[in-house]
Amino acid sequence: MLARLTAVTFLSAGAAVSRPLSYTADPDYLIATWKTEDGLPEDSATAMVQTHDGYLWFGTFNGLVRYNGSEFTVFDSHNTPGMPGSGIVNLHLDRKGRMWVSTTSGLAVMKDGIWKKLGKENGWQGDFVRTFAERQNGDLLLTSFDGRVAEIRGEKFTPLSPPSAPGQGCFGYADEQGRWWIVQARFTGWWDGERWTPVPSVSSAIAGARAKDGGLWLISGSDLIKLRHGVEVFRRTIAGISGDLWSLSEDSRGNVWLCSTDHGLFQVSAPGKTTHWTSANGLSAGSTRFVFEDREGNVWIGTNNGGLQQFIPRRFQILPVPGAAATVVSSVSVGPSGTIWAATYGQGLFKVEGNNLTPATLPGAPGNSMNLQSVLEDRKGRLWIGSFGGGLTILEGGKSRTIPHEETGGGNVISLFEDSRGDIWLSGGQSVARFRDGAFHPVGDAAGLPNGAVSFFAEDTAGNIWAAHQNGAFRSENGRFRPLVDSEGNLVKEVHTLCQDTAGGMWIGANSGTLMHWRDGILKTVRFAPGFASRRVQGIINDGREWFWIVTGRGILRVHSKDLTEAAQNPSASVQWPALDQFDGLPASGFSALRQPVSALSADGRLWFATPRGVVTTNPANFRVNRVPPQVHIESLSWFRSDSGAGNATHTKLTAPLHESIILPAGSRRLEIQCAALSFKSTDSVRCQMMLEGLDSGWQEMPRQRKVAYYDLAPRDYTFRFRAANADGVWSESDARVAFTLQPYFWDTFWFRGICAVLLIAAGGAVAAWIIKLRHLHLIEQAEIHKQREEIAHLSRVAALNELSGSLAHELNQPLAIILSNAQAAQRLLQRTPVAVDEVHEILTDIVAEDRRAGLVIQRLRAMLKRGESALQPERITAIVEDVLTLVRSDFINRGVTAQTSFADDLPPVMADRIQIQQVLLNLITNACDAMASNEPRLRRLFIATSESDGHARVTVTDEGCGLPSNEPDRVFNAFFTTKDYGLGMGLAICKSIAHAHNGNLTAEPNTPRGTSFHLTLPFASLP
Amino acid sequence: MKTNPGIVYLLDDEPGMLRAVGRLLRSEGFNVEAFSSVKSFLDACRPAEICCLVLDVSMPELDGMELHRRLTRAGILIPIVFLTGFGNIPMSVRAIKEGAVDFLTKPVNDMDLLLAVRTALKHAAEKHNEIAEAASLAKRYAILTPREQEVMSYVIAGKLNKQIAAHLGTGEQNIKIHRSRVFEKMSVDSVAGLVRAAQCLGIKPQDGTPGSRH
Repeated sequence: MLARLTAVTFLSAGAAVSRPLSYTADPDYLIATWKTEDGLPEDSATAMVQTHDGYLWFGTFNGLVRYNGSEFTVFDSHNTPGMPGSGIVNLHLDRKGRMWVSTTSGLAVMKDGIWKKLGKENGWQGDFVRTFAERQNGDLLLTSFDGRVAEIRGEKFTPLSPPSAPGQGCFGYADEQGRWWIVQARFTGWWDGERWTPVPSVSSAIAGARAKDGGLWLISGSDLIKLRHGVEVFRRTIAGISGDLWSLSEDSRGNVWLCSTDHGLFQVSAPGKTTHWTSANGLSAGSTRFVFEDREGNVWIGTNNGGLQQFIPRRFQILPVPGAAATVVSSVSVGPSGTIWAATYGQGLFKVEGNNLTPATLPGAPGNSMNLQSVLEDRKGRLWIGSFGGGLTILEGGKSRTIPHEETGGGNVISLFEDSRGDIWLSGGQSVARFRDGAFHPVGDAAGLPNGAVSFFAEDTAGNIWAAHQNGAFRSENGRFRPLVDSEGNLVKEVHTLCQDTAGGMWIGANSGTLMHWRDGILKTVRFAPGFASRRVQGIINDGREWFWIVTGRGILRVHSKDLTEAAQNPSASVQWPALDQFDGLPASGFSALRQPVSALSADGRLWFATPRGVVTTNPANFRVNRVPPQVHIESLSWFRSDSGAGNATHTKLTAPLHESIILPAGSRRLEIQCAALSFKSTDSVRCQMMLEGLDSGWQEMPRQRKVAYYDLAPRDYTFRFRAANADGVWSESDARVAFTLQPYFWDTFWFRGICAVLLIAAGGAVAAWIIKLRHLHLIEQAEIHKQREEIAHLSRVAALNELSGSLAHELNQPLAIILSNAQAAQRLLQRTPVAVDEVHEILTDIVAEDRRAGLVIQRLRAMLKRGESALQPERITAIVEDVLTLVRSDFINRGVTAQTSFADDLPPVMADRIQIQQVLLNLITNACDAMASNEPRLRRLFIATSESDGHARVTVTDEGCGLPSNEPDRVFNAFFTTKDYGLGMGLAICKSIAHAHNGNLTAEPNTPRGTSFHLTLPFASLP
Repeated sequence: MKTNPGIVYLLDDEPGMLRAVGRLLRSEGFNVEAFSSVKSFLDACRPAEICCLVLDVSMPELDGMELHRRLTRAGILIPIVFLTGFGNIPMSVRAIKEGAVDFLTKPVNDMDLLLAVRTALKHAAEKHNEIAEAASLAKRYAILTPREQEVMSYVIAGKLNKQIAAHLGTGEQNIKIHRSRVFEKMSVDSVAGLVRAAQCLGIKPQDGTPGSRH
């Protein structure tokens, strides 16, 4: 049997949707945009719903689109016969999970892929359905562009007479009591079962929508109005609204969104702030259709001609340096009075005011040409400013002084730190100084700290100062610094950052991607969950709310202090990722590091980070975590199967819903499985894992691709499982799975192998029985013995063939391979004009030759397998040896054995049964190869010689193998003697009996230094 | 008939196999050169051109895998498609690990073989272009003065002129001039272009951030 080659690869999905953030300057949202070039059928998005299985569906004027977070699947009237048309006007998902699809060619309803068109015959008279409203009991109200209104109960349409003349589009709504409402320019009011009753306070309205609390939002003129139970409870004038609105909606944060037909998009936030988006601040088109919030809180905007947009709520805000957004903010700190300071490279010093950085104009501060690196306001209100090359400047009481470089340990001041006693520690790039009692004191060799820069200081709860020195981490005790060493005595090097642990220890972040924890002299390394490869830990800050914010090379990890402590103490615990990244509003350029201070916690609980793109801030108290587990699906399973006859492959694809027990026919070669993980913030930050039960022993991380391919799986039962975690690390509640069976070829089946095994065992048993009989009874008649010997010879030939089968398969495979390639070449040549007749002729000649060769192999096999009386006749012994060598040639190559021969010339013929002697030689050669299998290749040499000896012909097979049992070499001929794990131990016993039957002999002798020689002697034929 | 650029070397000890596979590839417009011994292949092989090798794993004189290793050790990086009569997992894993393009089992389906050969030639062409581009970049880099090379290493690290000036102890104006010459001589028009060129040439950015200890 041929060994299998199973390989697995991850494929990028055909139309994988990349996630470009097209607009990142908005203070509240990150904006991504998809258009036709990203896989949309058309540059519009007209309506959106999220089905219960988690997929997002949206309409365009050229088809209905399903989005799985990485791929768009388009349904239109060409590929979906049940769809009335491809232009989608509106969508509605009702309480029963049916999707109502309003198209420019009519109305339809779809459930589980089954479409049903609804038209005049159902009682629907209007043109395009503009809005759907639904009561608690599932009744629907449809309104059309031409002003028609209909109620649907069950499957029954009942037209309601419109409140005013047709021709005027309107919005429908079901209120808290289940009454139908109509909102339009000439009328706003409810249906009392017989007639429409207007609301007096609203004379005319241009749009309406259901509020989250069940009320009704209305736009009347330029006022946003809310009604509860028909009573006005809210009214605000929105500046800039004019013209028509496509839709109105409210999200889970209490924002009301207004989609204008030509004036962009408006948002009225819960506190009453109005924001207006146009093409100037990130909107892709001036005409917007809908705002849809999915279950995870992502906001989707549909536009006319601007494609689909996603507004991702920022969890971090960036405050850029005004006028020069690319300016590096090197340091950020909070003063005792709450001022947030930011030091920049080449743009001077800034303060945070509101949501902006404003220049801090301070007399005597270093000029704008200076590269500032560190800023600190101490508890006495003095402002310390460190710069590159310009040393340290202190501003105090309106006066400034610049400190000579020798007092600060160099002019490149990178770190400033105030300890609990009010002393200031700083490093000027060459050494360290401490400011105490109005004077600078060098901290150097005398205190145990070597020369060199310290980029970060910290103080533990015992009041000891720690320093992240260029040579390693140092910890002071009783005024003396000592280097920190790990359990093996190595220095802890390349330390980026330090953070006090309130329990008396210290957190240590290093460049080499490690986070360590020290307590009471014991240093432990914190593990990250598998798959998280961060190159450095460059900042750690505690937000005072039990959360650590760990700045890494791949974004910020937000880790609960309990989990972090657990990960440091318990070797089997680890820090979980994913990290917060660009899709949370962090800059792609990373964070400022190797300075101090680079992060700060202000009195209002906000965190501040210095980055090369400005100051980044977040409010941990309002940090919104996505706790919605992603729904996972296996979308399709497909395989290729080579059709050996025609030389081409058939492709079979099954799509969801995938049923239990899928059967893949034998020979299915390439199996592809496509998965979907429905979390939509960012495709890249969804973490996916898979497991193929039957092949994998545990979960495997899956790269970004959602498609996996397996090549040449062994026939077996398999279950493929898939699970995913959203960007905040919440795993899917259950995994998606599909079970399938890859069927074996008949020779791979258990029953076939079983039968073979049973036959072999039966053969073994028969032989054993025979030997026992022979040994103990001696009463069997000669004829019987002869018959049984024939039987055994045959069975042992079958057994030997089994051993040879790999080699024989190759012998047959080679001509078959040549025939296939030739035939396929001929097929190609015949398709061309003019046909190269000569070449095709040559090909056919080769095919015939190879076919004959294959035939000869089979003939030889049949001859060997032939059962029958032994027929002794004159044979040339050298020819028999040569025949056997042809048969085992490829076996030699496989096993790396080199064979040397030496044949005596003109030996007289021997009396032999050709097949039986071949059988003996085959056995000797196979044994010799086995004996040398553990040798290194150059010592796998086999010598085969023919010679004359004492009036007999002699064949000698010599190997360099493991040799004979030293005490009694002849024991090898005993039945059941074997050195092989799988051997029956019958081969040599039978060989010897064959030799005796020829009046010859088979003997063995050990070689020096190693190996064995077997001699087969046979009598010459008496010449006539 | 359209011809495909590049040479496909065939190496198999079985002449019938060489003829058959050769015909198949020629019928698709490939330039094929067939050899039945390792020595004749090594004598004729021109690795500097765009080429690939379709190699039989089991040959009596030298194992195909071993030949692959020896070629790699000798710096001859021809993309290789292995053909074998009997594949096994360790063998194929080893081959793919050591850089083989594909590992096909005989009898080989024509589509599989043609796809593998096309892939191999594509790899070869990409490698070829990379080498050609690197050679041209190296030529351009060689005409930079030592000072300009120094400035370039800072520019690709994203350093500002004033930072470079501070590091090299010279005026910002000088750095500006050097910088523009670097751009001109390397014929790039952006820092990004320069960074790409530097990566291609293996030049390390001078990451001498002020205050950094690297």
